[in-house]
Amino acid sequence: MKRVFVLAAVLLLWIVLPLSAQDADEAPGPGLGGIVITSSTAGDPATFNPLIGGDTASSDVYSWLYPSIIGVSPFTGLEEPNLAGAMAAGWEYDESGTVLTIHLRQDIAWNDGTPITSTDYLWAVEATRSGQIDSPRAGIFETMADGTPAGGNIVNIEAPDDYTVVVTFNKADCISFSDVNDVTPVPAHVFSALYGDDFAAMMDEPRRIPTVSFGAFKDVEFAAGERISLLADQDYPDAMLGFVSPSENVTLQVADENVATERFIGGEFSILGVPATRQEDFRSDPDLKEFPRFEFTGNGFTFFGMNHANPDNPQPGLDEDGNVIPQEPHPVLGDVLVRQAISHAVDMDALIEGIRDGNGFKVATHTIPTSWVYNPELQYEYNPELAMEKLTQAGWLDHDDNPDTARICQDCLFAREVDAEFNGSELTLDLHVPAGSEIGEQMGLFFQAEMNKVGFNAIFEAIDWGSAFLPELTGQTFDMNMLGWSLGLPVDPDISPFYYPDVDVPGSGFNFVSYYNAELIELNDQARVVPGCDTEARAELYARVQEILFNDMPYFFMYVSESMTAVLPGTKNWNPTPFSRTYSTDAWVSPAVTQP
Amino acid sequence: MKAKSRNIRALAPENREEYEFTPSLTMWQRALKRISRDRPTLGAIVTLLILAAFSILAPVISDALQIDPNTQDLRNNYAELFAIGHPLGTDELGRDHLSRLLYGGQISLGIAFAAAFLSLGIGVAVGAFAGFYGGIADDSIIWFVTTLTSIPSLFLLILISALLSPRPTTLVIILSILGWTGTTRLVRSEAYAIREQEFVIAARALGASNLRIMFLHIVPNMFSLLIVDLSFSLGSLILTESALSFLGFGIRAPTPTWGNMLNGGLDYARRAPHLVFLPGLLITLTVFCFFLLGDGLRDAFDPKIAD
Amino acid sequence: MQEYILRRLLQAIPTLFGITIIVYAIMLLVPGDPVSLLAFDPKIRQDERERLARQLGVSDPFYIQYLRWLIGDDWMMVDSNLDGELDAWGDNYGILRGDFGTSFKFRGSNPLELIGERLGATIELNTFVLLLGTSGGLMIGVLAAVYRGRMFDRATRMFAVLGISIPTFWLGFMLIILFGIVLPRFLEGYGVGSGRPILPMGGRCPPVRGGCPPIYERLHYLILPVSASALGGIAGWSRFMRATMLDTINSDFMRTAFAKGLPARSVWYRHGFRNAIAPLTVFLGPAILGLIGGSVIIERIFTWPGVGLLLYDALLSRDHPVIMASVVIGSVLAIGGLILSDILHAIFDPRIRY
Repeated sequence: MKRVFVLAAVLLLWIVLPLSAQDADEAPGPGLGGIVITSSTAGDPATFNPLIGGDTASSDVYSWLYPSIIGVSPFTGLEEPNLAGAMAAGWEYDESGTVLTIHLRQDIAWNDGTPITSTDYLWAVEATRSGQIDSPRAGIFETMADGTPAGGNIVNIEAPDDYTVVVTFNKADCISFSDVNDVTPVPAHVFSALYGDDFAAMMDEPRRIPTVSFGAFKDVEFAAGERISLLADQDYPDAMLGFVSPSENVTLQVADENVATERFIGGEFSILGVPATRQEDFRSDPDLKEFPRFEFTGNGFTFFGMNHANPDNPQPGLDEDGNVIPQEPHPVLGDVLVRQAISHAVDMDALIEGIRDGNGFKVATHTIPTSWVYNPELQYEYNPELAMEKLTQAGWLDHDDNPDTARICQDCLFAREVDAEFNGSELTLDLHVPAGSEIGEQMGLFFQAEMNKVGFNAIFEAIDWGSAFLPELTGQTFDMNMLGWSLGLPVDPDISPFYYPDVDVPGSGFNFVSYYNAELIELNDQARVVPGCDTEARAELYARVQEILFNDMPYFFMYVSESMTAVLPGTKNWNPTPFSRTYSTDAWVSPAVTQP
Repeated sequence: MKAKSRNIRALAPENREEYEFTPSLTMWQRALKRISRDRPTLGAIVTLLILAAFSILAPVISDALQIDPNTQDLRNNYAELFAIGHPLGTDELGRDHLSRLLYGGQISLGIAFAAAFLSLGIGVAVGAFAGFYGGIADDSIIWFVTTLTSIPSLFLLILISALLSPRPTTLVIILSILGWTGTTRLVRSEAYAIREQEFVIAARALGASNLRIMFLHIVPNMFSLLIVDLSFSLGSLILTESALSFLGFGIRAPTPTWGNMLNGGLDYARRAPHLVFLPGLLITLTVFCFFLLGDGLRDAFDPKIAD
Repeated sequence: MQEYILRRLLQAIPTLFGITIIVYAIMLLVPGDPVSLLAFDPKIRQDERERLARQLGVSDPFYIQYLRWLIGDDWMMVDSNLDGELDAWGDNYGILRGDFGTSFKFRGSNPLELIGERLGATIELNTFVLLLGTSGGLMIGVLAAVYRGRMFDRATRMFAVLGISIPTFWLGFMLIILFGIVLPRFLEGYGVGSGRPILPMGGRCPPVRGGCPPIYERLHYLILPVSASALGGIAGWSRFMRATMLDTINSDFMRTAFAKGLPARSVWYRHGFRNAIAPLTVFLGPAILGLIGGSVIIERIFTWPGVGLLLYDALLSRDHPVIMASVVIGSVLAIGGLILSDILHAIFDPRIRY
């Protein structure tokens, strides 16, 4: 009986009948657009308070409830004045580039009627700077309120009147502009009534439900491990249609991506960020073709970090006086020729086509195709012959004329510079990816196979993120580890968090590859103080930065993922852009199933 | 054995319960006879032997068919069943699915067997020791066993897996560390009961050492119990291996196991259903056979069931 | 009897103590630290990470961390402003005084509250699983024993064994697709239904406003997770019940009852069943324990908001206070289950005297 049942499931699984879709152009009216249900694998939010929150699960919730000071356009991915949900109506710098004056919109109010003013932003600034709360954002300030150094560039923020904010920077720095947005304005009249000057008291009630908000949705209802529900706020002045179409915006926790995908197909979710392994299903499975989908180039890239320094002897990039310490090279990857050889050894087109089903945009530097610094001409050349040539040139010889065995060091860099006894050693290294991602494991295996074809002995292993991958990555004891960076909007080509020697700190810094190039740092420093942060002038400097990165290869830059988002058939007013798939949520009409 | 039985009969010819002293068949003969009539159990044994043979012969079969479990062919991935050169299709990297299933079986079954025997060994040794000596040794062992078993085992499994990153050998150790307590309890209570019986007292009177008594008299006496126990734990271990893969703490790529193949295949359930159903069916079939075998053996060895 | 219960409760104390030491030690032995997991973000500066590490107290040696967790640090001086000097009294009371600390991941949240938010869901699911598993298993097991060797016995043996042989996560996944997508669309093709899921594909409550309705209004949310989870229980209980029932059948008092000429039905159920049930109680405790541990997989597949998932996430993010609190609560429940099962056993089995 049981067996018949399972068999029936097997047979029926692939005979799925099409849904009928219908289309109309308008939303029926306020709160009549159904319920928007999204899935989240991020877990429970730690807090609904934007001043103490840092995790994405939390910001996914409170970003509906509070304005930002300066908005990022969903159409350009850049900061623009007068955007829905943002306070800024315009801004300008003084001649020195250190004083930023922001003019605020005068037409917006919290949903209890209180106008939104500079006081609201200033209260948040004061709390963040107080040092009394756990805030990952305190580092934007030069000093904390009590004078202790905080390491940032913002000297002071003040409000000459209700609709003007003046930010003073220590020095002109193009990347400091977005720091202003790190602090989220909160309704000062509510928060000061609740906490007064005792900012630390916020930490005692992280899950306090916000009563006054500004956004298309309000009124958090939270069920642990289960859902977060927000109700439409028809008082929201920036609603696209003049009213909020869905009656409710629900986020449901789902632990497993495949389950989330099936539940979306079953109609239980309004929208799905399609997992990379399932994108091909939505493209080619006839039963899924009627799901409207949007494919776009994401704003992050995947790479293999290549350790430049000896993993047996991890050293910081700077000594105590701030001077650069020359580090012992990595026995294999310390030589730029070997790194370049790897870039010629791996057929990235085959990887993107075969493993990622074409969902990848090949890159060879640290920026993404939608950025203003992108240079399409920098591409790794797939040429195994050249790879072998470069290895030979680097002193790694194919001693037995058999490409399947590992090459051997004969006067390679490490033998020349560090230890002559290294001669005769095999060209071997560890290739690690974090366990748990099917695609990541496949890419690791592919790299292994490709590298071994030109004479490496690459040893691939997928290892646990928390207990193995991170410790060896931050501890700088790895050889080649695969990771991805997701770049926030707007994307800035600044490289200081990744390749400066001061963040080369075994145990925690993010220059874990111990990369150092004086010219690169000089160029980046220049690009940060370009007068007026003129994009063209900066782009010129970054063109050279990218060439250096391309040649030096601190990372094997792999690809920017092509992402896919799908909605249920019959969804209306979904107008996705590469920068946001959800900015128009307040106009949606969604047919998600709420009661089976 | 027969001679001995005759002696007993000769000594007590008029004993009414004669049949208890002169079994017409030994325990083993009776069990064998029962199993030979128990078709499901026989079927399970045959299936397991076939599965084991295929797994052991994985390299031979792969060579014969000229298919290698690790050769990638990205231009020929997700091949369907009965594709040319790949009888069971290929996986997401274009690797041959048949040979991966064979090698996966080798590792899954290998882990299960190694872990089952290792934990049986630990369990018997510790249990016999505790039951036989009693006293403080017994108390502290039982305290430790109770403590260990009171922690929900999957939690402990996940913690220890994070500690010793799971490769086939470490997974065997992890599973054994957590798997021996059941056997220990079983052996301990049995040893406790047996140690006051006549044959043990007799052996002791003849000057046998404690160790000798433990392993030559007590352990063989519970052989049937242990075999049943072993069969069940083999099945559960294969399930545990797959569950760990699902939770992300199983054997990692590139080593194939049925568990990680099934879990990985879930990503491609629509595109290439064979990548899910074949490893799933093999796990289910194997576990089914082990449990059926355990069930059949328990009945076969049960002295209380009349023929 | 009271004395026996008291003794069992006292015995539980060293067990609990041992559990906390074992788990704490393993937890700290696992490489990798909570801070690099919590703050893996290039925007967070180095000294902030160090400050976080000292705040969380994760850089102290094992025994200090364990003792602080166990008995607190309010009786000693600590370095409160992190300048390297001891300057204030500690503010941890330790779990012996009911202070479970503060979650690392959910800063400011009490681990007990985090567990409390979810314990109801776990208990709800497991109660139904246990009820279905035992009642279904008992029924099938008794009938299999009564009809030993016949078709019913053989069929249920196969069914029972098959039920525990399918990997739970695979079974759950197939059930979700079957009742959520395949069946409804198949039926829709024949003009039945709207093609929407027949049963919810996950979750515990309807995804709409207004909290969770009382359980009798959302029983359909329980059907899939409970069936997937109870299958193993039904199988186990039915085999066990069949065996004990057969033991009972072959016992003297049953033969006597038949010999007296009592009607077969009354012999089976009044004498046989009642006597067979006694040894079953022994297995109740381990069964409860198995469900607490095993529910991680069911919770993950069916998105059931229980403690299992919380602990799983805590393990991944090295949230020490939450891991320890869940382990303590889980073990207390498990030990409670074991004691309860011993007590029931004592009540049901007249041969046991304490």
